[in-house]
Amino acid sequence: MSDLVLTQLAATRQRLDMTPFTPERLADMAPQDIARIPLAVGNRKVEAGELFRMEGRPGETLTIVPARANLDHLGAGMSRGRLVVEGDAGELAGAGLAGGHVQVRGSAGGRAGAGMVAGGLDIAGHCGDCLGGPLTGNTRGMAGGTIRVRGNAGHRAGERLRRGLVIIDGDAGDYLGANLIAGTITVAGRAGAWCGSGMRRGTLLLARQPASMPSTFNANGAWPPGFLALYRPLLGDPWHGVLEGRDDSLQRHLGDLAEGGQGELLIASAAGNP
Amino acid sequence: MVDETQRIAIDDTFAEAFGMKATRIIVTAMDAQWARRAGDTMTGFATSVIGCGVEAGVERDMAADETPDGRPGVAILLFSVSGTELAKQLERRVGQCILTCPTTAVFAGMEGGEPLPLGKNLRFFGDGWQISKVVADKRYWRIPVMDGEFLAEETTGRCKAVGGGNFLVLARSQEAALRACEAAVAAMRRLPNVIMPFPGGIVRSGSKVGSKYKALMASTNDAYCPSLRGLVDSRLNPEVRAVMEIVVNGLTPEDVSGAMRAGMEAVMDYGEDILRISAGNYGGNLGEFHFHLHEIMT
Repeated sequence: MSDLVLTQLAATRQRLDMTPFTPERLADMAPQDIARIPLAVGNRKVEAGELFRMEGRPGETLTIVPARANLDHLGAGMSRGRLVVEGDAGELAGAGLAGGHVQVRGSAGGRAGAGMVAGGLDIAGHCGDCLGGPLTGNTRGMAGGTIRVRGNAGHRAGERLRRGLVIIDGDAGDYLGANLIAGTITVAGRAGAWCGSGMRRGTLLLARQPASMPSTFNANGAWPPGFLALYRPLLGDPWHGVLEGRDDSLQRHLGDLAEGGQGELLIASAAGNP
Repeated sequence: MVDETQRIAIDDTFAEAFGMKATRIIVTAMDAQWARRAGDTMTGFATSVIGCGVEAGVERDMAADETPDGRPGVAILLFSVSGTELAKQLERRVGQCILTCPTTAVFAGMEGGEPLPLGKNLRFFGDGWQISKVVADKRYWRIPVMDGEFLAEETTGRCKAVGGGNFLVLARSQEAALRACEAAVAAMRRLPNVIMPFPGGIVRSGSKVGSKYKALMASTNDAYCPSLRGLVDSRLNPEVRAVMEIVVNGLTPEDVSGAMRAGMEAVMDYGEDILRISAGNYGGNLGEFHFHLHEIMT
């Protein structure tokens, strides 16, 4: 149940930075004050009330209904509450998230969840490149929390991930988990080329053989699900039956040896997963 | 008080119990047998804080669908007089008895209180190859061992607890005392949050405070030793041939009194060779909890 609903009246040609619109930032504001929040539209400042219809009062849950996928920074820097995006989000959805939950009912653009440190980001559709990667100028990506993408993710998902969990129910693009520092990424579909390139530690769990991985990974042999049992409640239906206790249900590869080789690629080797 | 159907007297006395610190852990393994073996090993030498540092026992067996990693397990409760000693004993026992036991993993069994290290320091056994995983805001350690990996949650919780609830079963024969106590322990083990830390849950060497020997802080409870009747101020009727004690530790006073009641009811159901039920105390000046037998049974 939403406390405040913001519905975009018409799509703007320019992108909008939605950073001010999180449940916590609006919590103590009267509706008329929210309507006066200035938003940059190109080289103009426009009050939010001219761009959005507002219903309800601020509370724990904020719902935003975009007219098109050009609302950027939805839920960025949020630390509590719940933000629901009833449609597609633009760039940097949930970037720098420090708590609370961002739910995108459509797809999200690039760099979703970049630099997030806690909380949850749930994307019902697909997402663009650099999911959970570093914010501009940073050397480390996501450092905590959970991202779930029900569809496919673009290239470089989880790049430089420091900590946290990224769950991709569909396919992932190239350079999945490139330069991974630590943390866990799961892909229930197929991952692209150069999977795990430059990773130092951390885990990539793949339901299927990736398009390719660097030659700097050593085969470690068959591996039981073991600790992955802890993830089973989080991974849900796409992994049903894949992690069911057989001693040889995973193939483990260790790498990237160019970076010390303490990262692991776990690939489900069950029948039907070539 | 005399049980009218079975003519078993319950003394008008109380069990004197003490405040303790407690924790619970969950140990899982490939099958229930190995989980139980790990639990029994860890809690084997943990009957009394006097000599063991900790009082511990397997609280119950756990089905696979109750444990964090979906394997069969056991819940273990540990009690000690201080948080420091509890932490020391927990780490030592997990390190020597759980880490070493094939296929096991260890998880927190309670939350809250000051966290006690589980895998937090044991991870260094991994010699740098250990791997940290944070799942649902809990940190786990994967420590490479020769049969695969030892998975250990970083910490477990701690709470205040009660140790030393007890009752004595006075019987016409040694066998009658033992069988009645076995029935009592079986009934008590069906309850949550309690353990009976002695072998099989039963003590045959109840103690009193002090000794004629200065080096000893406790010695045999001569008032309840049948072989000393006539020599000391005995509490035993002429027909009592054996006394056994059940000591119970619990997370709350209600857990302890509930277990005592279940145990005493089982003893009374046992039969006519049971003569009396009594309890051990130190005059009421040492322990903060007094469990009056008549109050418990009413």
